[in-house]
This record gives sequence, C-alpha cells and structure tokens, in this order.
Amino acid sequence: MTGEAVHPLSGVRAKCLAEQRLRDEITRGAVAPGQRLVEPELGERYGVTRNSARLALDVLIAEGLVERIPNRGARVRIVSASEAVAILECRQVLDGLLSRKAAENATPGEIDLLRVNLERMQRAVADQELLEYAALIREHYRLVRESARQPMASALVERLQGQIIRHQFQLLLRPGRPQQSLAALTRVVDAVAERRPDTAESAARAHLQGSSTH
Amino acid sequence: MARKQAAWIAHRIVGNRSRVDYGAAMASEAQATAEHALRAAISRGEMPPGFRLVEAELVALTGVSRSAVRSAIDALAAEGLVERIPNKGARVRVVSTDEAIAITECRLPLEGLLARKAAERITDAEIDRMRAHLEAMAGAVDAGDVLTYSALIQQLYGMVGAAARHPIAADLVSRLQAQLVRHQFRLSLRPGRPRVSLRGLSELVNAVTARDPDRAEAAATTHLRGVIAALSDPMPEPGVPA
Repeated sequence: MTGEAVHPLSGVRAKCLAEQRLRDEITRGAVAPGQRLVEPELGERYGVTRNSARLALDVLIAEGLVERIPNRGARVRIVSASEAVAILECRQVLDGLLSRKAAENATPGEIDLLRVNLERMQRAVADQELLEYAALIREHYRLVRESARQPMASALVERLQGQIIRHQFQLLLRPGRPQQSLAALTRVVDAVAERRPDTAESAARAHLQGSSTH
Repeated sequence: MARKQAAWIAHRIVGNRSRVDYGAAMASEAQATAEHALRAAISRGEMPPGFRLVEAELVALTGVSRSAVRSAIDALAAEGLVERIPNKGARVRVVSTDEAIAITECRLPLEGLLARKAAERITDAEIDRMRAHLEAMAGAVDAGDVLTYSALIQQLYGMVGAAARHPIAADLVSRLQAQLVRHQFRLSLRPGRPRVSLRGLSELVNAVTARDPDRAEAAATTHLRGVIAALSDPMPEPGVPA
C-alpha cells in the first residue's frame, strides 16, 4: 500500500499510534537527540493527523523524551552525560527495590522464566551477540518488574529508563562489560530463586554500578 | 494499587521535570505561583485529603487570575495530588494505605541515595543548619507539638535533598512525599511514635553531618522501613474508640 490517498487517522488511537512509534524510534536511536520534530512531517510519517502528532509530542514531552524549544517547535531531548548518571543512580536503587520485591513475590513460574532468560543471556554473551544480549537484558528487567508486584516502582523505572537507553547500549560495547553485567544478573536471578531479598537488591544495584562513570 | 493508575502517576512524577527545565515557555508565572501555593498547602496538610478546591477562594488566597488557578489545579491533578470530580470541582486526592506503603517503598531507596550523597557533599554551613534543625525537632517532640514536628520532618528531608545536590532524586522524592502527608501526620498522632521517629531521624542527621555515606544510607532506609512497618500495622483512627 502506498502512503498516498490514505486518509490520515485521527482521535485517541491515532495519538497512541504516533506516540508509540515515535517513542520506539527515539529509544532505539533511529532519531538522534537534538533532531527537530515537525508536526506535519510526523503526521505524514505515521499516517495520522497533525493534531494527533501534536498530542503525541505532548505525551513524550511530559515523559522527558522530547523538549519544546520556545518558538521553534520540538526536538528529541538531549540528556547530558551528568544528567544520565544522575538518572542512572535513581534507576539503580529502584531496580534494587524491584529485585528485592521479586525475591519476595515471584511465583515458581516466574522464576522459571527468569532462569530460561538467563540461559539465553549466557549463550548471547558466549556468542558475542551484543544486540541480542541487550534485548535479553530488557526482557530480564521486564520479568523482574512483573514478579515484583510494585507497579509504582516499575512505572518510575520505565520512565527513567526511556531517557537514558541510548547511553546504556554504548556501555555494553566496552571490553569486558558484557561478562561483568552477566555475572551480576546471574546473582540477581539466583537470589530471586532462593528468595533472598537483600542479596537480590545488592546484586541488582551492582549490575548498574559498573555502568555509571563516577 | 492499579497498575494503570501507578503508571499514570509515575509518568507525571518523572515527566514533569522537563516542565521545570523548560518551564518558562510552558506555564505562566501566575500559574506557577498558584501551583506553588497549592502544593505547599497540601504538603503541609493545611488542605487535607478530601478538601474541596474552590476556584474563587483560591483566587482570593493566591491573588492570581481564575484561569491561572484552573491551570494550576490541572497540573496538580495530572500529578495525582488533586482529583477532579465531574460536576463537583476538584479536591485533594485521598491516598489509600496500600498506596501509601507502595509510595514509601519507592521513597526508601531514593532517600537512601540522597542521604549517601548528602553525607558526601554537605557543606559546613549546611551541617550547622541541620544540627540546629534537629534541636528544633527535639523541642517540638518534647512539647508534644505534633503539627510543628510534622512540618519540621518535611523540612529536614528538604535539607537532606539540597545537601545531596542531586536534583533528579530530590525531585522524585518530593513528589512522592507530597502524596503521603496525611499518612505521615496520622502516624505522628500515634502514642510514642514521634519519639521513635525522632530517634531514627537523629541517627540520619548524625550520620550525614559526620559525613559517613554508608551510615547515612543505612539510617535513612532503616527509618523508612520503620515507617512502612507502622503503616502496615493498622491502628484505629485517632479519637475513634477501638
């Protein structure tokens, strides 16, 4: 199907569609920090009305992914390195909380899923499949959030994470970092499975410890 | 707490920071004035949960236009401090005990982080002020002045946040904290609770002013674990016969 002659979508669904696509593009790095976001262009790209594109931008501005520049529209927000470290520090301690709660609340089924994911992470690191490993880390965190049953902390972490995801992938490319990361996540999964909240919390914090630069 | 609601509140708690950074272009000064006054009154408990926000009264109170007041209410509603009820205006939102516990759980590691950073970064002048503040807190407890003590606790957390020089964590915490005022106040009415609280917070002040990061983090988290335990232990409403 060509883009021509297709009636642009409008309404809540159009806003959600544009919001999800743009969030995805920003967090994947398909659009760079500082890049201008022009409403009519976004509308055309996602097949939604200009108004829907504007509403989607408002949501992403509130999330801190996009910023408005007075009189000049919007652009992908530029997060400085020091700001990224500060965000990471908040994420680190909230991840600790989530892993602690997962050790308290995970069901046997959820523990199995964490173990299966851990085995995949081990294979990805052994095969030096870093993109795959990055995706599996995200899955690990998703499983921990599910198991923790602490929706407030989960939501805070998700929002913080969206702002710094690009900084983190670069860290995985450092020599030795994947092995270090895998060792910490292995300790998290073991501690959750053995129902040791304190150990799970400190292991989860250790995972991000190596990734901040202070 | 419903997942959707949590996501929505968290969205505001994290997201509004960008409005602070780029606020000039977004919110008028009058709205900011009204928002600040309302937030302070809610945080201090002067406008308790369920308190109805009448626009005309708020115009008189803050001295800004009605539309600025309305925008301020909208902003606080988006943050979860205030709720709009169809055809009945806005009121200060009621936070359930479960929600208060979940929010305190999130605060705990963040306060730990702030206490640690404060111990690393506090200046000599800030140390003097924090020690004097602790004495004022002890005085309020001795005098049985619960209202003043509650306000001084909020200020102490503000001082720790400022000493930490970590605006992102301090901002998250103060927004979480603002939702807990009623529960904290009710907690402080329990017999013996202010003394327990003062002991915990004294340890926090002592550790931060001794510039001992590990001890400061431990003090902050131990204190809040006590708060969570107390919140989880249901007590009759003060003044209601058990």
